[in-house]
Amino acid sequence: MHELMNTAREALHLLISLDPALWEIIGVSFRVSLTAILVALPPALLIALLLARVAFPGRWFAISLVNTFMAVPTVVVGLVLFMLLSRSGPLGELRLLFTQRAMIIGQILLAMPVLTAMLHSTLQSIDQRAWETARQLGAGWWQSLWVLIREARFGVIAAVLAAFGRIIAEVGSAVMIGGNIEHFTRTITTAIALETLKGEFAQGLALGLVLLLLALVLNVLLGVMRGRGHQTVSV
Amino acid sequence: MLEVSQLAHGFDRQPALWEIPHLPWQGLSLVHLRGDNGSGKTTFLRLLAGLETPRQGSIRWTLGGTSVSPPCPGHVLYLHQQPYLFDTSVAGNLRYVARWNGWRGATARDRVAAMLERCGLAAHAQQRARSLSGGERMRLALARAWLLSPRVLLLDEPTASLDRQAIADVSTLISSLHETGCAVVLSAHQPSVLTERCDEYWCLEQRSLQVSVFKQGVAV
Amino acid sequence: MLTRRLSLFATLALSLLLVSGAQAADTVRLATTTSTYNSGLLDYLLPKFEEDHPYQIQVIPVGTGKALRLGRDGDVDLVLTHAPAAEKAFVDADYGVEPHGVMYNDFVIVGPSDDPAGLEGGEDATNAFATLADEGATFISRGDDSGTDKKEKHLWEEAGVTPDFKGFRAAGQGMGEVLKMASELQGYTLTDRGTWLAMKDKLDLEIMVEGDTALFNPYQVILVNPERYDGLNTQGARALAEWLISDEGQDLIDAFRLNDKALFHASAGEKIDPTSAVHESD
Repeated sequence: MHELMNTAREALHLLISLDPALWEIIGVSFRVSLTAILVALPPALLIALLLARVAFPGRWFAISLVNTFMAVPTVVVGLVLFMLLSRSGPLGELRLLFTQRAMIIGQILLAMPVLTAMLHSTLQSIDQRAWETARQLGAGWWQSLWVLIREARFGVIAAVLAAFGRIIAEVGSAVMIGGNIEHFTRTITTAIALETLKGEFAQGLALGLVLLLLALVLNVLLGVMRGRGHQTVSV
Repeated sequence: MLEVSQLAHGFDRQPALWEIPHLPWQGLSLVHLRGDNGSGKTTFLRLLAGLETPRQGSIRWTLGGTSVSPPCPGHVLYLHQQPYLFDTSVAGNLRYVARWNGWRGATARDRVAAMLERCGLAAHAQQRARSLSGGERMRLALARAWLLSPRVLLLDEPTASLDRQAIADVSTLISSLHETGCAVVLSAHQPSVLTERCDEYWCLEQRSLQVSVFKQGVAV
Repeated sequence: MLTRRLSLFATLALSLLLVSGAQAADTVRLATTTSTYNSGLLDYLLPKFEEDHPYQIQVIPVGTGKALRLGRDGDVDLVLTHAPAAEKAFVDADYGVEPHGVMYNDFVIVGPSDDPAGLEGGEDATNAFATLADEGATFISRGDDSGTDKKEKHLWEEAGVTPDFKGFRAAGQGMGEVLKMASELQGYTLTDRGTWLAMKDKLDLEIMVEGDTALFNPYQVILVNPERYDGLNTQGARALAEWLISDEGQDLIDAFRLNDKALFHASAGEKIDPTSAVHESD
């Protein structure tokens, strides 16, 4: 118990004293995960719109497929991507393995199903009248699409926050394709895994607190935007 | 101006609601569309607006000398029974229309402000559209449509579920819209101050459309 | 009939319970480095120990840093590690007692076959490290505070280099992962020979430097101080430690082969002062 208190105190000290090594790791995590979300959002929106608003043969199957991908363990994504990007793999020539770019690709793959599934359900719940009204009032196809997304903005933000929470807290693929290289691909989660391995619990705990704080901020943000506490999403 | 021929429509795999062999309409009058519940008034209006495709037959609008099939965005507008208001301010709803139609800067601002004034919504300009009362919502929907100076408005039960005062306000607005040269077809299953001002009656019954034209209360 | 069956069942269940309870009492928990475990040495030694002793050994393979931490926290009964300075600190702080040198193995420097830094065939590890820094070559460091990592840090120090040159990458992962990474990135790394032999078929790397005494790597066995925690199996731990440094244990260590190569050299009683071999800064 005494040991635990000491570790917690040390962790808080690291956070408050703005320990540069700690903040560098946090920076890498945010850069990678934010980039992944930004890249994943437009295609996820388009796919979700397609699934929600356009009737095409095999649509139910596509929806089940998206939901299945959501359940794929992160280490499996890591493994597949590792095999693809490895020197002996088909994309080895790109020399992407153990770079931030590879991690971003991995996180895009992890974020896409979550984003698509949540955006699909939120776009599906939009009133058909919104589209009809916009089109009749002279909005072009893209303008109507944009207005539809804007009408669903709280659902879209919820999807983004949930996906962001998933990928920034993910460790399986990050360590496999990023390699946990200091100053380059060491993220909050891979650093926690390493610090535990080293028996250095304080920095791991400090980083864990950052993740916890992040989840809290994301959820509060969502609650505030929704007006009064209609919290349907947990990050 | 409207030319309907051999029109038939019904819901999936069910027999047609009605068949309308021929309906010519000058497109100037204020029309009251009648019919029992389930007679397909809404469907008929949506067909005219091009929001649905008829099972059979054709609908043509002649606008500015050319004959086109619906939809005719900006010219022939259908308003839902509960009009859809975008989740933004009252003025924001009108600004959307301005943007979609390429109006910019002062032009857009002036037109939006004038329309809010005209429809008695100036005081509510910054209010969230969805917090308006039923009558105000209908007025905002009309203002939004009016901004485009449409040739024809198709209104689906515009006064249903409104209180007496709101019905009076909305009726006045629709009358002045009509006076500016916009033809109106409105469905209503109950008579009101508004339907009394109509000069043409279309009635969906016995699987067809009966047209009666009145001038000063006399069938012509 | 039914009662007899029931009582038979009860007896069976009870005896199973007793057996498992007895096993728990005879369990010895050993924290050791991945190098001894992955090379297969322990899988080879421990069954022979368990044959003649009433103990069952549970091996927890982790980095040296974590192994010593487990010992300090009383989560294991003894440790078998290879980081002399850290071990000395461990004993000095009374976390551990009765340290004994057991054996040593050696490290090798491996790298890509096209050898851009020109290390191949060298015999001086310190020079090789200095060259790597001068050339800015890609070098994958364990960076996980393990025994191997401590060894590497010591070599950088000996070479008079701060390892922050262009190609330096601290991976913070196990030896196997780091070797794979070095192979993928075609970089150099320092590895223990055991892991190297076990993995080299899957790697696109060659040995560059070997045989330097600076690359020797002594292992010690240390009991966790029984005065710090109740419920440690110190008796079992001591039996294992004494067996490892006995003639029988030492001969077995010398006889161990991986891919027909000797990996570990028994060194109990050679009385080498471990801290004279390696001086770490931490």
